[in-house]
Amino acid sequence: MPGIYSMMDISRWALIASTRALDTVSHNVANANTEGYSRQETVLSTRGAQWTGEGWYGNGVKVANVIQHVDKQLEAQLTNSSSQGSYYDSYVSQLNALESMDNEAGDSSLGTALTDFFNGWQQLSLNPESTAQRQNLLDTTQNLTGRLNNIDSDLQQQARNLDGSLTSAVTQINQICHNIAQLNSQIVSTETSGKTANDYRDQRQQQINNLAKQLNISWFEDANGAVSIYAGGGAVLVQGSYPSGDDPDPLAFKDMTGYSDKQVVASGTNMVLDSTKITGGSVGAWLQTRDVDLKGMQDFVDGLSKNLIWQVNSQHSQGAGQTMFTDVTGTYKSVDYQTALNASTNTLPFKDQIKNGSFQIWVNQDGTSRSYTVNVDPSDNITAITQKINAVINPGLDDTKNPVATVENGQQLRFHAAGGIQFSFANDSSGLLAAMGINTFFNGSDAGDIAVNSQVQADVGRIAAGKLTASGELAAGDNSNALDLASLADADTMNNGAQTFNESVIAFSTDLGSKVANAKDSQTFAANNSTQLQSLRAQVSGVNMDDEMIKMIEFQRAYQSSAKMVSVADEMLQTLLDIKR
Amino acid sequence: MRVTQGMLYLQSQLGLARINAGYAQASAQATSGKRINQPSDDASGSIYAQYSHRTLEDVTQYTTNVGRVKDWVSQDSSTMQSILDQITQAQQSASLLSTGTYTEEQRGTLATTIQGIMDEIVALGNTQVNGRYIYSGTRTDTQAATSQLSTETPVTLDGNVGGGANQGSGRLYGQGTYTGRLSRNITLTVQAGYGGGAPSAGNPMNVDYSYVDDYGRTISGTATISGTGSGNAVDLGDGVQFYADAQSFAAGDQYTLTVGRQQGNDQQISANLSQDNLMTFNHTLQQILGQEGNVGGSWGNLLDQLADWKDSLDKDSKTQTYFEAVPGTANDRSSTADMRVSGDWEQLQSRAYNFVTGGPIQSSSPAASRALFRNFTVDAAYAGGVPSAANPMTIDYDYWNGAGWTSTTATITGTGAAGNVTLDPTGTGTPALTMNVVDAAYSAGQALPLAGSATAGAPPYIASPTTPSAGQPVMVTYTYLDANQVRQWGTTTFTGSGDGSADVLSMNPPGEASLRLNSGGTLKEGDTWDLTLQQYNQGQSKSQQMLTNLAAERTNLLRYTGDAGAKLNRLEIRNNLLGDDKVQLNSRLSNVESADISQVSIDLQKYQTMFQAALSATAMISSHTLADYL
Repeated sequence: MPGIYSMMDISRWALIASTRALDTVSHNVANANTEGYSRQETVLSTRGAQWTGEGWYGNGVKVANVIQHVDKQLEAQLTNSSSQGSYYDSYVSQLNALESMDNEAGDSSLGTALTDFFNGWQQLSLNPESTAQRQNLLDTTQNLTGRLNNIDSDLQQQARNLDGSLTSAVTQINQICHNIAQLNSQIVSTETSGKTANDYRDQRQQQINNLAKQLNISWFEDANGAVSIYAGGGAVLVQGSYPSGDDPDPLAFKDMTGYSDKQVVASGTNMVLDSTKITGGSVGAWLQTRDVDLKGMQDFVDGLSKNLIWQVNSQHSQGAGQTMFTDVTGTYKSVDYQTALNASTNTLPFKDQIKNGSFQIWVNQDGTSRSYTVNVDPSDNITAITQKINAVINPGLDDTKNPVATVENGQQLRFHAAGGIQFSFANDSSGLLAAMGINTFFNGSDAGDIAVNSQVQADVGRIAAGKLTASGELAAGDNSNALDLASLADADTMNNGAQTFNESVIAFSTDLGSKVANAKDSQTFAANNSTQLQSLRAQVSGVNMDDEMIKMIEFQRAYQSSAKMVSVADEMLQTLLDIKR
Repeated sequence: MRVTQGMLYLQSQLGLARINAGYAQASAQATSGKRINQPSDDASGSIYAQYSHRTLEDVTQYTTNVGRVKDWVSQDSSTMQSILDQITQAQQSASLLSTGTYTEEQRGTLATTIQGIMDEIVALGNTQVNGRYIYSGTRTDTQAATSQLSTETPVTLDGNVGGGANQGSGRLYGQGTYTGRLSRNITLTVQAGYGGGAPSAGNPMNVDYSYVDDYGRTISGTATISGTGSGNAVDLGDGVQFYADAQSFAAGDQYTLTVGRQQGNDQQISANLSQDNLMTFNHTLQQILGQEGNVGGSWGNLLDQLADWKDSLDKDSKTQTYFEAVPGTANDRSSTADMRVSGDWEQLQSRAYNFVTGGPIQSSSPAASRALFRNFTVDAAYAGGVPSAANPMTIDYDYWNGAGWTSTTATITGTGAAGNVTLDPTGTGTPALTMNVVDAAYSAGQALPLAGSATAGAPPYIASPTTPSAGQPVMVTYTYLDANQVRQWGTTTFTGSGDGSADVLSMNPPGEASLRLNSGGTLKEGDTWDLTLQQYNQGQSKSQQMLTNLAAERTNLLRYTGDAGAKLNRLEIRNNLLGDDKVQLNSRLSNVESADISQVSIDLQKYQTMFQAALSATAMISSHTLADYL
C-alpha cells in the first residue's frame, strides 16, 4: 500500500542496495592488484511492484546478484598462452645452459681444444726427440679430454637437475589438482543456490593458470560449474571432485621399464607422458630438453669422443715411441676369455673395428731385433689370440724371456717379457692392438671417460711419434706417425665419413645455436601473445580506479539521496502528527 | 575500449623487459667487443666465425712449422756452403800437389792439412739444429758421421738371390774393430745347399762373402757359422766379424754388412707447410758426401777419397821406419799380421819382396800327413834355377812306411800352386802329401823345410792364426829379385812380434832389409804378403785424381745447396702466404664477429634514454587517478 511508510521502506531498501553496491566497489578497489581477480558488479533490480486499483506501484530497489566480468573464451586462451610462455621460458633457459656448456664462440671452445690437440702433433712432428715437446702434447691433450669430461659431467648434472625439477613439478601439479577438485566441490555446492561463486571461481581460474604453466592442459566446465582437466594423451588430471582426500595423485614421476630415465606417468592408466605428449609448460620444456636436446648433445660428444679415441688409437698403435715395452696390459676389456671378440654379447668397446688382418711384434734382445707376424681373426676370443701370439713367437730365442701373451683378469690382453727383452709393435692391419688398448694413446670410449692412456701419462716416451722401419729400427727423428696423427684433423671421419672433427663440432654448435635463437624468438612471441591476452582480459575483467571512484560517488550520492528520502518521509509524518495538536 | 590500471602496468612491464634485453645485449657486445658471444647470437655468422677461427689456429701452427723448417734448411744451406769451402781448400792443395813442384817429403807434411779438412767435414756433418743432427736422416739423436769407421749391426737384409725377400727369419750382425782405411760393403750370401734352420755345430752354415778391400782387390770366400750369437762370430778380414742369431736361414738369403763413418740412415723427414702440403726438408750425409763403399770400382764418398789421399801423402815419404806388405787375398781372414819391411824404398821396390808363412815347401795337407814326411832336399844333380817343365827339379825326401823311414824322390816342374804335386810314394794314398815350392830359384843340396814335417828342427805347423813367441816360433819364407832379376828365396823365423831388437829380423841380400811383425799380429801357414803393390809414393798421382774427384763432389754438393736454396724460397713464399692468410682471416673474422663499437655505444645510450623515459612514463600513469581529486 503506497504511503509514507512505503516511502520509508523503499528508502530503506535503497540504503541497503547502495551499501551493498559500495561494498562491491570497495571489494573491487581492494582487489585491483589481486592476480586473477575479475571485476565484480552489484546488479540492482526493482522490487516486485504492488497492485492497487490505481495500478502498479513500484516497491523500490533490491540487490539482484553480484556478477563478475569474465570472458570465458579468453580465459581458455590465457591458459594455453601460459603453457606456451612458461614452456619457452623454461626451454630457453635450459638451452642456454646447454649452449654455455660448450660455447663454440668463446675462447675455450671444444673446437679450439681439438685444433690445439692436432696442432700438438704437428708441433711434436717438428721435434719428435724432445721430451718437453711430448709433455706439451700431453698437456694439450689433457685440456681436450678435460673439456670433454667437463661437458659430460655438466650434461649429467643438468639431467639430474632436470629430474629434480620434474620431481617437484609433478608434486606441485598433484597439489594443484587437489586444490582445483576442492574448489570444484565448493563452487558446485555454492552455486546450487543459483548465485555465482565469484571468488571461488577466480581462485580456481588462478589454479588452472598455474597448472597450465606446468604443463599443457585441455579443460572444460560442466553444467554444474565443475571443471574437468586433461593432460596430453587424455590423461585425467581433475574430474569433478577427483582428486580429493585419499584419491591417488593423478601423476607420478618414477622409473618405468623400457626407459633409462624416470618418466612422468598418469597414475590411472600407467601411461608414460613423454615429450611428445606433454608439449607445453615447464614440464614439457624440461622433458624436451632432457630427452631430446640434452640427449642429442650427449650422443654427439660421446660419438665425437669415441671416434676420436678410435682414430687416434688405431693410428698411434701403428707407431713406436722412444720407450719400448717390457710389460703391457691392454686397457680395454673383453667380456670374458672365451667369447669371440666380435660377438654381439661382447662388451669390448671397439669390437666392431677388429678385422681379419695381422700385426707385427718386434722383439729386441741383447741388441738383436726380430719381428713376428700374428694373424688375427675377429671371431677369435682372447685366449685364442694369446695362443696364436705365443705360437708365432719362436721359443728358440729364449723360452723364458720371450714376450709372452696372457689373458689378464680373464678380460685383458697382456704381453710381458723378462730378462731385458723389450718389444714394440708395427703394421697392425687388424685393429686388434687399438681395440684391446695396447700401444694406444687414449683410454676410455666416450666423453665421460676419455683420458690419456696411463702408460703414456707415466712415460711420454711411449708417445708413438715415429714408426719402425722395415728393419725394426726406431729412429729418434722419425716423425711419420706424428704427421699421420696430425693429418687426422683434416680427415673426414665424422658423420659416416662426411665431416672432419671440427666440422662436426661447428655443425653441432651452430645447430644448437639456431635452436636457441629460434626458441628465443618463440619466447618473445609467446610473451607478446600472453601480454596481449592479459591485456584483453584486463579490458574485460580488470579494475579501473576511475570507474570505481565514479561508482563510489554514484552510490554515495544514492545513499545520501535515500537517506534524504527517509528524512523527507519523517518530515511528512511530523507534519501529519502536527495536524492533531 | 576499457582501459584498466592492470593493462597499463602490463604494457610498461613488457616494454621495460624489451628495453632491458636490448640493453643487456648491447652491454655484452660492448664488454666482449664481439658481436657473436654465443652461436645463438648469429648461427650462420657463427659457422663462418668458427671456421675462420679453426683456420686461423691452423695457419698459426703452419707458420710455426714453416719457421722451424726454415731454421733447419738455412742451417743446412750454410753448412753445405762451409763444406764447399773445405772442398775449395782441398782443391787448392790438390792442384799444388799434382804439379810435382812439391817434393815427396813436402807432400807428406800436407797429409795433416787433409786430415784437418776431413775432421772439419766430419764436424760439419754433425751439425745440429735445436739438438738434432740434421744429416742423420731420422736418426737425429745420433751423430751423422764419426771420424772412425765402424761396423753396422744388424746388417741390412737384401732379399733372396732367387728373388723376393729373405726367406729365413734370421738376421746377421756385425761386430769388431775395423782396421781398414776405407768404407766397405760386404755382401753375405747363404750358400746353396744350406738345409735351413739355425746354424749349429751339427748344422754349419756356409756364408759366401765378397767385398772390395782398401787396395781395390775383390776379396771373396766362404765363412762357416757353426753356432749362434756373438760368441760364434766369424772373421771377415780387417777386424770385421759377423754372427747369426738363433733363427732360421735359407739358402740364397743375402745380406749387406756395411763398414763406414756414416751413422745416420737415408730416411726423409717431412713437415706440413699447409694442409696437404708436405715438404721433405732434410739432406742426408749420404746425399751430400756420396755413398760409402766401393761402387763400380771406385770410392764415391768424399771422406773415403780424402782418407785415401791423406794415406797416400802419409806414405809419400821415403824415410818411413818401415813399409807394409799387403796381405794376400787368400789369407785367413782372422790373420792380423803385417809384414813390415825396413830399408831404402827404391831398393826394396826393385827387390819386390813376397812373403809366405811356412817353409819353401807349401802344402795344403793336414798336420797328420805332414808328420809322415821328412828331410826334403834339392837333389845333388839339380842344375839350379827356377824349376819348370823345361827345368825339372828332383827333390829327395823320406816317408814313413808304417814301420820305418824310406827314402825316395819327386820331380817338381813348376812353382807355386801351379806346380802342385801329390806325393804318394806307396801308391796306396797313405802317406800322401800335396805340395809345391815357392816361386824362386833353387840350387843342388838345399834343404827345403816343410812346417810340421818330421825333419829334425823343422818349424812347427801353424794351423790357425797365431802370434809368434819363443814357444811358438813361426817360419816365414821370403822371395826377392836379385841383381839378375832372378827370384831368390830365404827363410827367417819369428819368435816374437813388435819392434824389439830380437824381433827385427834381417833378410837377404845382407844389409839391405829387415823384417818385423806388428805387435801381436797373428798369421797362419800359407798366409802371403806382397810388397809390390803400388801403395807408396802415390801422392802426386792421387792428387791429380783428387782434382777430378773434388770437382765431382763440388758439383754434387752444389746440387744440394741449390735444392736447399729452392726450399728456402718456397718456405719464404709460404711464410708470406701464411702471413697474408692471417691478415685476411683476421679481417674477415672482425667483419663477422666484432662488435661495431661506435654503433654499440650509440645503442647503449639509446637504451639508457629509452629506459629512463619508460620508467618516468610508468611512474606518471600510476600517479594519477580520480581518487587524487576526491
